[in-house]
Amino acid sequence: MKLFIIIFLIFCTTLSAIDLHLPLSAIQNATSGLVLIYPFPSAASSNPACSFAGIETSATYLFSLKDLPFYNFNIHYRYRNFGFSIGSSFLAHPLYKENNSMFSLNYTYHKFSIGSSFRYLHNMVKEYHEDSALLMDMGLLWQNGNISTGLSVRNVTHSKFLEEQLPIVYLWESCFSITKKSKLSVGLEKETDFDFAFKIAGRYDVHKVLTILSSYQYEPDRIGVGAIFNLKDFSICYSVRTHQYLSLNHYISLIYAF
Amino acid sequence: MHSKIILILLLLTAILFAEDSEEKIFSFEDETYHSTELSDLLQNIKKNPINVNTADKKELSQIPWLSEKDIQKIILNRNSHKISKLKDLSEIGIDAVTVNELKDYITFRSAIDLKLKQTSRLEYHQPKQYLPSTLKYFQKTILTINNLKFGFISQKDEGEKDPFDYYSYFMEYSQEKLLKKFLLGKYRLALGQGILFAPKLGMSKSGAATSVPVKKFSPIKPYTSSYEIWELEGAAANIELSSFNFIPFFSKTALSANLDTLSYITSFNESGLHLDEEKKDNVKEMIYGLATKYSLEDHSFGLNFAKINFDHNFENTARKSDYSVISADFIINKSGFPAFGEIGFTQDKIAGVLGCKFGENELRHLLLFRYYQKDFPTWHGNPFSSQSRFDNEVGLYYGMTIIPMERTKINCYFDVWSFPETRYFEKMSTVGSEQFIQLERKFDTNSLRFTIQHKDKEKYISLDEAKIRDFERTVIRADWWQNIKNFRFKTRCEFITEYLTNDNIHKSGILAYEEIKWKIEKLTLIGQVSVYHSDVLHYMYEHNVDGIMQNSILKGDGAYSYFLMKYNILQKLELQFKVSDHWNTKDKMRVYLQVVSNF
Repeated sequence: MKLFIIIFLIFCTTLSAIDLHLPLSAIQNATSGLVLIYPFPSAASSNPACSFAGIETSATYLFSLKDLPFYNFNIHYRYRNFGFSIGSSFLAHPLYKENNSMFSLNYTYHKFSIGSSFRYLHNMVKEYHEDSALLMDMGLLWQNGNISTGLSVRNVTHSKFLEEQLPIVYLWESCFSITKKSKLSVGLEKETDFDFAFKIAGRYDVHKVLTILSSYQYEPDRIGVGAIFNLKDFSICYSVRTHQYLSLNHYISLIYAF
Repeated sequence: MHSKIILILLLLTAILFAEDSEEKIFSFEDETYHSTELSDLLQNIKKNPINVNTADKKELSQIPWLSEKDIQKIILNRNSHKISKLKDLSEIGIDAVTVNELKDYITFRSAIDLKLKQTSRLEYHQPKQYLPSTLKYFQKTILTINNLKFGFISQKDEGEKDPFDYYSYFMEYSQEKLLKKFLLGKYRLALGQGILFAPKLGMSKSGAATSVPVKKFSPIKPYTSSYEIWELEGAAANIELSSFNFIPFFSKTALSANLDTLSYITSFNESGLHLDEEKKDNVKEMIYGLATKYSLEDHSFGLNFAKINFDHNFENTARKSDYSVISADFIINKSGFPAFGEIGFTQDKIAGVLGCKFGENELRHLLLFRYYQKDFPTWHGNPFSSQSRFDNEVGLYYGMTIIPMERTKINCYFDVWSFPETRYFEKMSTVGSEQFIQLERKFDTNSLRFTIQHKDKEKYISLDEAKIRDFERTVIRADWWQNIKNFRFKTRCEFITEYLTNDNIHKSGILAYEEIKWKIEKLTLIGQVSVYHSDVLHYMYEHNVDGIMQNSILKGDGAYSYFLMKYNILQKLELQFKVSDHWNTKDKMRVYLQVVSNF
């Protein structure tokens, strides 16, 4: 029963039942899903045009529930104008499991990037169903002075799972460099059968070793806060994000930049 | 609990690394959210301008437009060169916009040893059937003789027979060192972020998204407000020993409460109207305690204790009539105002506020987390909250100020909260959220402001209905100011919608007004005409005689107008007159006559 309520709340207030579109990184958790304000390897999972070389691993108990551990691992590698990414996320519960494996490729020409990713989604609800689907995502990214803008579409292939249409998610985002230390990002997300979600995020580089991220999302209402500690090529990010009905969503990520 | 501790640690960590940030309130022109205390403060400073050559850092910080850096510049420069004119302030590096704002609030002359300020106000309301009298009277006398200040304030509300139905009195002694302040009579306390004690009428959320939610009050002040509640009566002192401040306080006062048949307190009368003499001052409250504060140049840490006793029990058994409460507060200032907080305990209940500011002038952020357990005693407190009472609430506020270019400013805040336990007649916990975005653009003689505010609350519609419903209220407002010589025109157009999602009930309203202000040397005239067609309530701030901040509440079809005159008959004597009326509603006319003398 408890699991049912949790999943019901997650599904009703964020996205649909399969392909949960959960934040893969503590950074994404802090920025309410916006990916241009701070580069991180898992960003390619949200917008395949994003390219930041490194290894990232993240972990959380969704909404502080020990029954719902969620892990993500991602590697992004750059070669000349090309970027390659592989990654996998895993929501583990004895009764409910979801695995999302991804391969992405992007190409950068001057200030313009285009990318695509292929995802293998496997979902299992014990004694109910078990199935998998193949999805494709597309992304664009361009820079104009201090402004970078991205557009991504998840599940452009309109893939289905158990004969049901998987969610198609459109995310538009623009990031403004206000000063050398401050950035502001705004975005709009639209998922089929859901309202537009407006997002705004701020970044402030307090010190070379510390960056603070904060964000707000409207519909559903969420506030995210995170701190990134940079130690040479390593970064540790810890973030929390509110949920009106459930407990805080804590994330921690470890990033090694190539 | 773990999550809250981690969030607190996160914010604290951020604070430790926080770089200098400068606080400067952009303007006070948002006329939707107002504070009587702030208004009183500004009016007081206007009447008794602060001498920039002699005022200490705390006195200078009362002027909201002066940043920490500005104050440092004044203090550093006045030692070598006396500041004698506004231009001197520009020359020491205070920007022209700030200097222009300051001109009414500062002086360069020596302080006067003897000052007498007298305010007398007569307020007449059109007769109503249930009121035996429609006259309201208020007077305030404050005499300053060197370090001593004496005050007497009295008020009679409409319908009350006794001309001294409410009165306040005080004697204040202040000096630079050791006994900084001693107060006898009626006073108010403000400690930390206001969990234990704070003025009730301070600002909460507003257009100043990264400034206003931070509580910044002087700890003890004479009670000079005309609000007949929340004051303390007895003695308080502020003793300074090196970096420590000790503020002992004692109060024994009477409150007007509603009692049930067993003489248990059900609620307090917060209106100040005493039409029933039996209910007046029927509960006695005694408070004593000690606040200590350790101040460094930019940081301060406080520990506050109070013992509170009511001579009646509360109907709500969760509330004790005799209890002790303790709180700890801090401000960590790295040349700005990056972090602040307070946590209070009483018996097994806890209430806490923790906030952090970060960013640069072009993009500033404020995060504020609050956690108040149900039935935490709230009578004298007023920390940041989404409701008038602050118990039973967990919330996170995120404010942002963006200055993308010169003369353009964007303020926005986002607030999410939940009431974890039931409130009033609600049968389960509820949640709410609020979004606010305001764009302001200033030109040479014009200013434009565009505001959108949206509230989303879950609430019950009536007592009989068991359902919780989703309630949304959206306000869209456009303001336009024009300054033409001695005239200032303000035009507003406001549209409000209210929507009950579950029942698909939709209400809306529109309000428009034109306000004209004409100011020549001794005379100020303000006139406003509003028209409205609305199914919902519009709260409209209007100018008034000094000491009154007023929001008109407009609904239905109609027109409303007021006319205000302020005339300096003599150099130290000002006559203020106001008349307001709803054009097509009976018994709504009000007339104010006020004389303010300042010798």
